[in-house]
Amino acid sequence: MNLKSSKRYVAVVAVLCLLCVGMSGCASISSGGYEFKSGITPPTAVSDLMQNRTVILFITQNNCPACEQTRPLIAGLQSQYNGTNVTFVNFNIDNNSTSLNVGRAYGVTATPTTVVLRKDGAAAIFPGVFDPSTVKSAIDDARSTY
Amino acid sequence: MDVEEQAKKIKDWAKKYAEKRGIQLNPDEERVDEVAKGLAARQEKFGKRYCPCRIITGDADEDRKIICPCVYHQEELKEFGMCHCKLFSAKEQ
Repeated sequence: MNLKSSKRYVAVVAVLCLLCVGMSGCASISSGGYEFKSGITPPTAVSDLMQNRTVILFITQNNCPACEQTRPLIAGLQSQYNGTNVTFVNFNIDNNSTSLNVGRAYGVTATPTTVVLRKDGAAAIFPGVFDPSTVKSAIDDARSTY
Repeated sequence: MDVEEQAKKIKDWAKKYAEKRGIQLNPDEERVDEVAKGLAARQEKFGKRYCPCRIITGDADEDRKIICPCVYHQEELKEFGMCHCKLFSAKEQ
């Protein structure tokens, strides 16, 4: 490899490294199979809830069987975090425009969608019926940021 | 036509559609009734049979994709054995 091509090689490697560092700021994939995406500004209805509390959003609609199927899973998690700094909030988009705006802010296209929020606003998003142990890991991760 | 009557009509249509496509309605009739009711409510409110588990965007082209049977159902049946709404399920082999 001559000097010119080795310089080019170093430059390419440096650019790739910078890209990797830059991208890691956007999303961090955990070993648990979920990722916290940053860059989403929580709507006021959500940021108001995030005062030293880990917030879990449960976004639903009426007449949505998958929402009904997921409700007991949410209730199960809720009981595990009873008396802690974890808040579960149901936003039913059929009820008001605030809920619809919350759904849109997190790119929700189908319900149910469950969103776990870290202190910095980064969000782990779980569409559909979820695996409770995965969501629990995400909640524990989010709690550790407070 | 009231929502209950509309829901019954939708259920009949869904059954025929499933038979024609070689799939079936979800064997859990309670879930089927719930989806049919949701579809009927949306038909009543928006004039289209929008999937009750998907969000209406207000963009006509996008929303056309979520009119039941939605554009996603065949892929979901292949992948999960059931559509997201749990109205249709793949036939057991």
